[in-house]
Amino acid sequence: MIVLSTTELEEVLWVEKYRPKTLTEMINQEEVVAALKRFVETKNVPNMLFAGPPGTGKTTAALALAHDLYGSNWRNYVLELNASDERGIDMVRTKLKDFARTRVSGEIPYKILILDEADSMTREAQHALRRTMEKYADITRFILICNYSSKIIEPIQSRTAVFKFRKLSDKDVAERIRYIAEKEGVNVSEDGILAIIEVCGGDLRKAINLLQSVAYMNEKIDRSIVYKTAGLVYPETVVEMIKDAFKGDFEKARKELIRALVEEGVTGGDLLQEFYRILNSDKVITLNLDDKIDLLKFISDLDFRISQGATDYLQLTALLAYIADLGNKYRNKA
Amino acid sequence: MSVASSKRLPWTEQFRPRSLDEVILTRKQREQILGWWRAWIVLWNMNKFWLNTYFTAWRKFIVTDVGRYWSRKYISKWKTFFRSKFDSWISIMSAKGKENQAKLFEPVGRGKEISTDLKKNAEAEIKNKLEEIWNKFLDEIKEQAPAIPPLTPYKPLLLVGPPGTGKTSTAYALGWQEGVVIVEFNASDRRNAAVMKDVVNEALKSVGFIFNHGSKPSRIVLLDEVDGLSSIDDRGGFSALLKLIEETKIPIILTANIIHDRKVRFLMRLCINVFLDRPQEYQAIKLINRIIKAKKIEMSEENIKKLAKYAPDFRTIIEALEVYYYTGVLPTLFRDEMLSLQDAIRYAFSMKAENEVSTFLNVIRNLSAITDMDLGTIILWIWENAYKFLDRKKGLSAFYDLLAYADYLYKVGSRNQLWRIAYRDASNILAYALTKYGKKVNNIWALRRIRVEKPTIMEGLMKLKTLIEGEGESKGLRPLLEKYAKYTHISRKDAWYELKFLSLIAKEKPENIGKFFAKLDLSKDSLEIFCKNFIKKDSICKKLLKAFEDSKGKIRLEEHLAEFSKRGKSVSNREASFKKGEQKGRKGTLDDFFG
Repeated sequence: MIVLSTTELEEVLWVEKYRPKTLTEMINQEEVVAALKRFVETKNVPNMLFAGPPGTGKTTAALALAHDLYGSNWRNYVLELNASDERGIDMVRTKLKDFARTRVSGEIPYKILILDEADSMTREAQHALRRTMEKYADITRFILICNYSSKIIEPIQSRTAVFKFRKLSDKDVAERIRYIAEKEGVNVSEDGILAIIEVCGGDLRKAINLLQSVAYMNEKIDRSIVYKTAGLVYPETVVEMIKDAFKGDFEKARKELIRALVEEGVTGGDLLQEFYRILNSDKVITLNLDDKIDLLKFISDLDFRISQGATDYLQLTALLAYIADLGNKYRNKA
Repeated sequence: MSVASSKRLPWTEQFRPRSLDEVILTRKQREQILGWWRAWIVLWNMNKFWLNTYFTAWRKFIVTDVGRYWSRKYISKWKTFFRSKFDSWISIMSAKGKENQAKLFEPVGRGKEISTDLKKNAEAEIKNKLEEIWNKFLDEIKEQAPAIPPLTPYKPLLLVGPPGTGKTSTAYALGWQEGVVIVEFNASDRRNAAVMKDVVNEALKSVGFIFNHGSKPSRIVLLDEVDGLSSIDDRGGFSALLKLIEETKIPIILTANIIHDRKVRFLMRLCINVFLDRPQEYQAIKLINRIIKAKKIEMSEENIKKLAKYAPDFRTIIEALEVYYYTGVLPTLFRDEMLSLQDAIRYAFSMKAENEVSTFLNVIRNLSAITDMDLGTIILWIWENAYKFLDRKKGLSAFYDLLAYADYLYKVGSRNQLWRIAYRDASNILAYALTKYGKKVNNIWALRRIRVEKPTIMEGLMKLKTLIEGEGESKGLRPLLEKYAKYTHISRKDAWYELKFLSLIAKEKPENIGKFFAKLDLSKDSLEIFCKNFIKKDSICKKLLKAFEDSKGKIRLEEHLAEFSKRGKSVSNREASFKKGEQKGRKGTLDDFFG
């Protein structure tokens, strides 16, 4: 049997293929990268907290740091855990602790634990984590990654060096897409790139994934093709729901909500975020300021209830009803 | 109690039974409960004898080297030995035990069917029995000891049944009749490990036990609604409860609503279980007759029959009679009139006036009694059907917000054991919302034309869960999600969202994705589930599978997906042994099974 090593197999996923392997390859987040480089030079890494929107290079930076620090063997010194997969206290007590308490030999006396999506951990788990961080501080360094640092308990924040990753500028994203397109021999027009940016915001991961699916399906990439493909990958369920409810077709919107939950497997919490984003951006419906303030206040109320364990689809239905009433009010005015 | 004050008490209090004979039980149930109580009395007296005769000797023996050695070797053996021998001697659950109980107790009690007074010669017999057990034990271990070790407690009594069937009343009736203090802890108290410790102390400190006055235990601990022990707020509460059962020196009565609960199932193995079911018609008639006689109510034979036939539990009967007494109207919502859940929903939406809110609360109570639905399910049914029943002129958002709020209160309330919020507040809000925003019709039959549909979302979500988590042999999409997530450094949830993107690529380049899956070292099973649910086109699936089979085993991911293998040395031996001990300790706590 011929055993090929990974390097011989062409990387299928572009996100992985073009993920920077070292800190030097990272093109943005300059301040953060500069600081991380200094840590590598001194071989002294503190416990860190990376916070920022999705697709801005947090995980990449953590992996690149490990690579630079330990060399090609870095995987032996690093454990990656994703807190959103196991958000309970058990993960901290078992997997994480088992790793943290083992000692490594070598030039660098500690290993690194990367905990992704740390903000999805329960408070209890975070407190348990804080103990573990302190107890094994001499042999394990922690890199916690999260979207919102505010969701991390204060004691952990004060024990870590906090690095904020800013949202990537359109220019940065465009540059990267152009670079990948050139390497892959993909013909993408300028307005195609613009369309990708519009769909994905500052999320580079999403942008590269989208580019790849568009590239395989079409010879030449332009605006309309990007939007068509994006519709397949990221269906505009929420936009449809808002439109239907605002039109007064409440039941249709409610059925669509059920479909999205049951067939697409979207979680209610994620849907609500999407609602917030779209309603806040005035893209689908335009409201006067007073109504908008009330609406956003209502959404945050629902968000809180869901976070406390209320049933997500019931809460979202209340939002649809709210939008339906707004639609009614605006129609009557007109 | 003066007549004036008793008038102001709700009838459910006024008619609380004062003795076990007043509780409406079958003969078998009464026998079981009293048999349990008699077993405790026997144990109590046996222990009294032990305290007088062996306590001091045992204390002396246990501090010697021999004693320490003996106790380390045999004490737990003794505990189980004594427990099983005592149980088989006196337990009400066996014919032999019943016979033996009859030998020890007076045949008929003072004004009671079953007596709890010991015969005069019983004390000697109990004494003999203890020594008999002890000698048998010595024969078995073939080693001597100068004194009998402490005795193990008898089982608790577990009363299981739906709400309102008289579980708590039974406990109090027993206490009242036997002159025993009932120390109650119910669901409104938090029962985490610390609180349970207080209960344990309360149970252990029983003074009468050491200074032997009284021929019966002096108090009973009543733990209401043990199925309500939440794993979140009552952390450690359950294992503390088990510890209490193991060590108590006084009798414990537990109550539970459902037997489907894991904790209750487990407890059933440790207790004498008595099942109190919804009332039989003759039992209900017995209660109704007692009350109408006491209150001099005139009620037609037909109404009595109707009430007896359709009332779901005793409490409802008493409440219904109270309403009848003051208003002359029998509350309408019994099983014959509320033919189905569908009608109940229709009824809920047809309420017109605010004074019907209390009726609605009855609707909810009866709904859950008739259909075994909890408030959460009722909310779900209303959510599914509300749109058709709403008065749309009043807008939608006010109603749906209240509905969502009721759900929030119910979910958060029951999660935190705030029952008042979970039930009273949530159902009140629901009731007012329905009253205010429902269509106004003259009778519920007019609503019959509107179809009431079953909410299907739960089924859909279950199906989705099966797809992701698998069922039985199949592991579902889980292995794929896990490996993909790990490979590309994202969470499983994000991996699920990206599957769609993966399927888009697969449709264009099935060979690439087939190879990729081989690289992830997936099983064919996962791949087929992916194809079936995301690709759907046979020709593409075939290509993908072929590429997968061709590359399978030839491409290996070196360490990429391998877990961090424990190359590092353990921190120290001390810590390693600590870890071992910790794991051993963990295994023993029952919270691991129930947590």
